[in-house]
Amino acid sequence: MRESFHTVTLTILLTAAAAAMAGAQAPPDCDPMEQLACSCEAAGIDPVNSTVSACFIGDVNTITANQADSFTARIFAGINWPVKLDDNGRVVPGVPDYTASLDGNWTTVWETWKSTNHIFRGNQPPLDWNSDAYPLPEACAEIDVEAAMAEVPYADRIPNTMQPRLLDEYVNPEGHALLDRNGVPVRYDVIFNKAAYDYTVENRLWNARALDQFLEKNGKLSLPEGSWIKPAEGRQRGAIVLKSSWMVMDKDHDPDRFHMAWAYVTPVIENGTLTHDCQLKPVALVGLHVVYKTQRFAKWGWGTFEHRDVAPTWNEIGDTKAGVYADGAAVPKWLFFERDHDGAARLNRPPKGPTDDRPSRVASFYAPGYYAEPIGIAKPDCSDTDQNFWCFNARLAAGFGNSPLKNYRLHGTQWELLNSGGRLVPEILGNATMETYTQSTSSCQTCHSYAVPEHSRAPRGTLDFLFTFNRDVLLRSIPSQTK
Amino acid sequence: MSGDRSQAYYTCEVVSKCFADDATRQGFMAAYTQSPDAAQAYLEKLGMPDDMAAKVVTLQGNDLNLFIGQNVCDYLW
Repeated sequence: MRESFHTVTLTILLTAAAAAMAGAQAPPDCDPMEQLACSCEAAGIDPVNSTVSACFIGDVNTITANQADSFTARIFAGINWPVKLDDNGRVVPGVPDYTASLDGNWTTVWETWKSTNHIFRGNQPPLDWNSDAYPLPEACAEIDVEAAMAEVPYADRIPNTMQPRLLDEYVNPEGHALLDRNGVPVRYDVIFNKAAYDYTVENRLWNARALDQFLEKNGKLSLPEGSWIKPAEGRQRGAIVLKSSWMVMDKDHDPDRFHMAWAYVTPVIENGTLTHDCQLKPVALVGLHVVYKTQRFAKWGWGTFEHRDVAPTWNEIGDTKAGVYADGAAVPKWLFFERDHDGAARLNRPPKGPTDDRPSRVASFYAPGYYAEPIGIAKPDCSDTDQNFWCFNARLAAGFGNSPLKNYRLHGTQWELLNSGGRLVPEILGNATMETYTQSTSSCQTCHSYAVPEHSRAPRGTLDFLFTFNRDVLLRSIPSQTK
Repeated sequence: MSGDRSQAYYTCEVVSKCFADDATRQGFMAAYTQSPDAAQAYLEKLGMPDDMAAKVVTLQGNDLNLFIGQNVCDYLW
């Protein structure tokens, strides 16, 4: 009897120890899709460093410049975590694989959020959140996917875990295209997280009539806000909206330097000519806007990231001729700049149209974090808790050191200073792959405050700073690139 | 409150430790970027009683400013 008691006790203890080693059970109100600290505790994982972790807070406690930039960098790290795959190797949309290793190229969490292509479909309801398949235009549906992938020598390094994304947008809001060295336009895709998607679905905001009725009743859209402390009811994670920019890869691009994906590119434009209605292509991420709404960032936090090879700053153009920086490091082969490029466009001048056959030439107007620190000073090594701007990028690069994600840098975060009469910090912020030709004047929040139903006298901010509700719902029949 | 001293004393103690040592200040800021639990643990590490730290991490923005200002003034005057 006594021996039996000890055996049972030992079994219980061993079971408890095994459970503790495997990570504590997540509390029932801890949704793994929200990527809050409780999920990392349940998975038994620690942050890689103080910037790179699978989990991130719902809001800053107190808004300051370096809290804003730190928060943006942490969101970037969290949403770029590998997504969970099911037994068939297909993605589980929005759910991170908390214990995944950070090696190589993977499908990120945010790539499984819903593109506005999947949400705003005319009078058809949005695709189900858990669906990773969607209807394709006829020209894309006819493509032999396996054959197209087999043509790419580094195909095995590109995740094939979900239906390739549809990239059909190739002009920025000003109506200009960014043309790469092959005269191929960079592509854009706007993406909603689950909180933004649910708000849209629950209020039927994908339907023009329902959106009008909602505005008539409520005055404005108000997407959910994230919070520092978990609220008594509802979710802690607020709306996050992304705008991604993708470059079509050619045989000379180095696949090790880019976060890559498969995409249906439609239509295909090369060197001024429309060559195909649709092709399946490997594409490389070159820019990412990360825009989030929280209680502290009531008019959203506007963060933006660029691949480090996009374009030189003005003072890097001299180094580009030499090929090396003053410290001996090699200058990258820029994606959208060659010093003496015969046949290329004038510097920072938009093409006449997407079928202009001259590649764009771009210089960046400012270095990452230009507003946060003096430019050109030596930057000492960072401790794990150092809150200087360059340290956020240093920790992103270190945390993603075994992945091409190490090559993406935070350029900045714009937010509104409280009780300041609307003063923005910084006043100017843009992304060279998206606001390419307006970098010197671009202000995220100011521009997006004009997101109102067109042809209305609605006050600024009516569509909660999101143009997509005007363009993709109210003006559905007039896509901007065909104007 | 479970500590021997006043709320004003513990507030000043945490603030003065952050001012006295840059590594402590950076650690304080980094903890506040991790999670409310991490922030609470850091306040406790700096000497704040746990029940007071649990209350302080729920304060945000201007409420936190007022709390710190009030308590620093209470202690000094």
